Amino acid sequence: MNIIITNSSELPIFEQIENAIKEAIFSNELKEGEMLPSVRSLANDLKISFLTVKRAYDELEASGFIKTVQGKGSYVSPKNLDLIKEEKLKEIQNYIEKIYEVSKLSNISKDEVKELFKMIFEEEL
Amino acid sequence: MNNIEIKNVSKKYDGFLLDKISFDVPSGAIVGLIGENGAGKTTTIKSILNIIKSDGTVKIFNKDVKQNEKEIKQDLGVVLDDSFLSTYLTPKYINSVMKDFYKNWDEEKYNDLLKQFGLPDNKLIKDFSSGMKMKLKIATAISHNPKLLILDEPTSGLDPVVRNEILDIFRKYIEEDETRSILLSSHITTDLEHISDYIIFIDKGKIVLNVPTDELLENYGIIKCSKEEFSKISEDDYISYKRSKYQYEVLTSDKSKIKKKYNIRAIDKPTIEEIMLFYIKGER
Amino acid sequence: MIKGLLKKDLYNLASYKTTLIVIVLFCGIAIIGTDALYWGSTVIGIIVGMISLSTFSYDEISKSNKYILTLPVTRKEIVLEKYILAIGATILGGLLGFIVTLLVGNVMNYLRPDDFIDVNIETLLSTSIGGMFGISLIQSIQIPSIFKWGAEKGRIQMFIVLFVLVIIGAIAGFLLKQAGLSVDIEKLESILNNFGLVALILLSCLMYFISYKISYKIYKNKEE
Repeated sequence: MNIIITNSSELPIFEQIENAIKEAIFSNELKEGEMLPSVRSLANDLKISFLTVKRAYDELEASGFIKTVQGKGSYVSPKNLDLIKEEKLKEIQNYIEKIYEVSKLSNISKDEVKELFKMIFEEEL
Repeated sequence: MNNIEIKNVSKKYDGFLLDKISFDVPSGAIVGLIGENGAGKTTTIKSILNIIKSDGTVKIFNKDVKQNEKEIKQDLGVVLDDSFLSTYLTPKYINSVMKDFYKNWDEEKYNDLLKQFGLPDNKLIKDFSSGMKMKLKIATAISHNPKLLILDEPTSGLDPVVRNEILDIFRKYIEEDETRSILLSSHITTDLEHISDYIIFIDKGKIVLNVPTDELLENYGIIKCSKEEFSKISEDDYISYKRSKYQYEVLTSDKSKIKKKYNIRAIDKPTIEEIMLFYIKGER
Repeated sequence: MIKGLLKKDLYNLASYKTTLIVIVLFCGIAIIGTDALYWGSTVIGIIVGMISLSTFSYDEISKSNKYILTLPVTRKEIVLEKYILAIGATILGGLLGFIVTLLVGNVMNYLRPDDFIDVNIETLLSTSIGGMFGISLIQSIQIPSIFKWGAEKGRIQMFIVLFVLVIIGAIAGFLLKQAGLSVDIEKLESILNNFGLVALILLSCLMYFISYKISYKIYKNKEE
């Protein structure tokens, strides 16, 4: 699993970790039931505070990606398709927001954008 | 659970006052004590160790240090920057002496550490380089598997490579058993940035800051702005500022709030050193 | 725990052992052919006894005191250990002085049978014990002052103490002479031999005990 942390990113470090682990779960690099590194060992490897890692794990647990068993460690939760779909939809929404922003700034009409969408989707078919 | 709890610890010297210091070292955490030379870091550590008599209470492993000193010190590893058992001994003799002090002294671990750190066991310590001396002190401090490690300036005066090696030793020590804690002081803040979970900043005998390191690095920000922009910022929203000919630099503990409230774009991530300087040199 | 401290001091002194052997040999040789054969035992005793005090200097150079206070030992044990070492050195010094002088005396008699010296065990015993008493007096004054002021300043203290003792002795001798009394060495020796030796030993023990109490009181509140 790759976890790349950069100080130049706008994202806080715990979010960078969170995203990297989600990515690994989506790509099946981290499999269902697989154990995550302990908070301290990941913190040591990334040379950051264990509180940062703990926060990332807490967020992942809150959104249902992992499960933490006290005294044992954290495991990847069974795959929840709805959860994945939701996550992916969120990602798509982000892109669309960007498209919206760019089109607004450059005065490109809604219809023109729709046209592009159609083209891309039909091409695929 | 806290491995150290200190409350209202005060100590008066000629021209110096350690003023009612209180803080905790939670189990599993690495706590960094920062501050200028003479700010009170060493005095704090000496008070915790009961080497000097100070007012207030110090609890280690939930027990009062003054009453249970000998018992507590069995589970304590200490590194002082200028003091060691003797410089006229060799590492081999250190082993022979230390096993009489600590019930849990692990001779094998000590010898492994000597090997790992590349320390000769037959050379007089006084002929060691400062990096070797520090590694030996640390090896000695962790070979009885203490629950708590207290280190005064363990990285000062060492080159960056050795400093990083030493930080790795600390990481490994705490990973071995996650109920352990480390309290270390340093005036080299970059070291603490990478190793500590909490930062305690002492200035002129007082604690001015005690926060999780990630909060310091994520939430604090340095706003770069013009005089006009600065005049709009409410006094409650910043800690201190520095002005130069062309710009104002303002330290805030909540940069996302500032971003939204004042629509300021230029906010930098500060280093601990910069934060420290804002506290010491900044205006209010 | 005291064992650990003793080991530390003995290892420190190990670098001293060559010097020590040289000194004892030198003293042994120096007393050859002198009338002061018996004084040899006193001198050797004092030198060996004093060496225990140099462990304080080792501690000071290594700045060990602060570190030792972080180890699982009490301040009481730290003070006690120095006295055990001092008393041990005194006994060793006395024995060594006795043995070396006895050996030298007999070797001399063997080499020069015509110039026979009667090596009197009893006299030797009293000079040895006299030396041990002397060193216990110095140690009893010295150790608390080192605990109070440190080894370097304590050294200066020692010279002042010795100087004062010599002055007092000289004045006492002068006054005795003025009073028309003379000190009869042989009489003194016979008094010593009859019951004085035991008294001297008891007095030494008492001095060590009082000195230890004072040292502990000083070190209990000392800040390093």
